[in-house]
Amino acid sequence: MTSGTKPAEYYRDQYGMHPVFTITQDLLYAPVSGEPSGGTWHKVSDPATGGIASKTSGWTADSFSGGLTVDFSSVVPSGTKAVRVSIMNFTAGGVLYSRKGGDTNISDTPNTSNEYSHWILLNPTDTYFVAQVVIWLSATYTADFAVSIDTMDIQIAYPLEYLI
Amino acid sequence: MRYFLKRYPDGGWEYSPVGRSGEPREGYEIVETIPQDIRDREPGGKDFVIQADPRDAKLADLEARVLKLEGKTA
Repeated sequence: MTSGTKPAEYYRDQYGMHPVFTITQDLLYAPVSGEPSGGTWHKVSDPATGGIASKTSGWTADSFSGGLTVDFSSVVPSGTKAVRVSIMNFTAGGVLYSRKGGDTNISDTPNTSNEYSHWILLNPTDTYFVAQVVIWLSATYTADFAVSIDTMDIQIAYPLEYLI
Repeated sequence: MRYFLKRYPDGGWEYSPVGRSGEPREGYEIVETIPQDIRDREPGGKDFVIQADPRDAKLADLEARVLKLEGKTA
């Protein structure tokens, strides 16, 4: 309990009175400490149409270190926090995960069963699958990607928008 | 645009852009463009055919009719 706060209500059981605390949505979804607030999305005026990054071999399943790190610094302005990109998965289906480059709050060995928040797509088949997703970037404009099946092929398109 | 490129023995590949720092990445070569043989095998390469959407023709027809109604075309 934080000094100076007072619980709004109490409940009683055979052991006595207990304070009731409620975690609000604001608290659950508060910005990361030190993260600048605000920002505006800007459309890339004429995005390149090919892939900015691609990986079709050399994956280690469920591992960011055995995954793909993409450095967006040459295609986004200084101060960019996130990009919106299209991502294609083909050849084999599975889960694609992402995290801000080097984010140690997210396990280096993500698990498909309990880390849904870092899934950016789930392809249940072996055919093409496309998703348009928001990818948050590190201070050096990198993002990490990992796959659940090591035979998955991934292609990431040039950003359509950036948040700054 | 420069890319880090790695080719794998099974015929697969990995590429991603070289950042502003230009620092080399161990195990990767730096190329100015993605080699044609890789581009041809990816979605968006020359072998990837996007089917024409029949709705495009209907939309073009509708736009032509609107322009005609507005007197902008004959």
